[in-house]
Amino acid sequence: MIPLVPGRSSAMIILISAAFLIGAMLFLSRIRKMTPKVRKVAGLTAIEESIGRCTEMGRPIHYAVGRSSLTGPSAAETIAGLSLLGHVAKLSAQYGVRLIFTNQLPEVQPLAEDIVKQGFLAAGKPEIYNSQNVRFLSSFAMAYTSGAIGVMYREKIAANFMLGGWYAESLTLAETGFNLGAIQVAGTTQVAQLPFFATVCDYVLIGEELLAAAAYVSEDKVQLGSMVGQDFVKVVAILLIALGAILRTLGVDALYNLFRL
Amino acid sequence: MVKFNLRKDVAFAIVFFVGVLTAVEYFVALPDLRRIVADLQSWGTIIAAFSLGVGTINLIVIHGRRVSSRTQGYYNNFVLLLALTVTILIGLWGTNMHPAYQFIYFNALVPSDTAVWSLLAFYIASAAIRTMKARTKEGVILLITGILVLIKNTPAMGVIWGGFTIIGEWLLSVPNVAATRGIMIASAIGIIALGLRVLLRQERTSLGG
Repeated sequence: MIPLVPGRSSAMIILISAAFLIGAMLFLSRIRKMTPKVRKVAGLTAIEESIGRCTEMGRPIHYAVGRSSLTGPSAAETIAGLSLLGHVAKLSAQYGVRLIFTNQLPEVQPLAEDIVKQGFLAAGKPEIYNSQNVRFLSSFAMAYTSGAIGVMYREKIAANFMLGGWYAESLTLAETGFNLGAIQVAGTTQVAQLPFFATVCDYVLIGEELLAAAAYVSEDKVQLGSMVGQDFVKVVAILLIALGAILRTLGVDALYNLFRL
Repeated sequence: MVKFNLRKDVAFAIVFFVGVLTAVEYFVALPDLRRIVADLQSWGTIIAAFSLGVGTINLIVIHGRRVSSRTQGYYNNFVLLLALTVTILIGLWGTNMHPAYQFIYFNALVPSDTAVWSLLAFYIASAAIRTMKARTKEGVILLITGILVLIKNTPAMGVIWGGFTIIGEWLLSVPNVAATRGIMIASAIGIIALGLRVLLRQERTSLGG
């Protein structure tokens, strides 16, 4: 008998069930038994428009993925931000717009350089890739912030993408983008920062929208299948929340206790 | 025949192995497994620390080129390189507990850091003023809610009428928490899906295309 960590059994069952459901949808898409239809996400369709605007204005794009370490519990949002970086790099190469990536996570630097390079390669323009546009500024949050503000002002950016794990620096950078008149697309799962982005940015990817963004822009049916699975899991979660609320109101603690196992 | 790509295939194999092992270790109470995962996490931290060198090289190359080509404001780049060199040398020579290192840390870095932090208050004020405009129905709701929460946090208003505190606390602990939990649950499901896409090698860009 495998010993389980006390208090984590229900979480394990939820994780396995969710992974199974999402995996099943992914598999069905792969064997072409299902053609997923995904609603348009305004923030993601705005990315290409923003890059087009940068082309017309002859001004660069600023991209950053925030401060969630790749070795920490919030790594998923950095991974999502990096996935979108590849898409933005490809588009910026196609349009011939300069992409400036500023970074405060040392472990992201080699990845970001590679992703941007691959994006330019995928667009068939590896010769215009310039490693000096992928800039590590500082691993101190506020030192990075002041550095990034300087870059945004000096380079007169026309589009600002802040997609990843954002914390205290979110509003300062978004306000700078706003003052420069840049189109801003921001996304994070950090609920404390979402109001700031909603206030200042033109488009906001809220929580799961950021995490699904790479699948969405890839237009790969297999990846989109996982989004359908995600929706099924959400429906189950909503039903469980409703059932839990009703049962607790009636004084029945069975479901509540089940989730505490 | 599928072509084997040493760099990418090995990287994905490591990601899959470490990812699955770490997930299993979270739920299963096996001391040996815990020790293996702890070691893997330490390796991850060490590899991440190595990448600080990549970041430093990037800084030196970018700012060094600006100094050598005398671009506008090159003296700022020079100051950065000088500060970087001096701090690294002192740190290597006498560790980060050396008085000179401590002097730089507490008299240059900490005050500058605090100054930039304090700017946030002004940015919050300017963003709040812009948001609090009753142009739409949602805008009116936001405006009223914002004012009520602002009043709740003002001690004098609580003395005038105790209801302000009750309403403010209800807004924060009921509708606010409900919306926040909705976002958090959806994000958690999104993380499972993203994790699965990475582990099954459907999502490749994040590991360098």
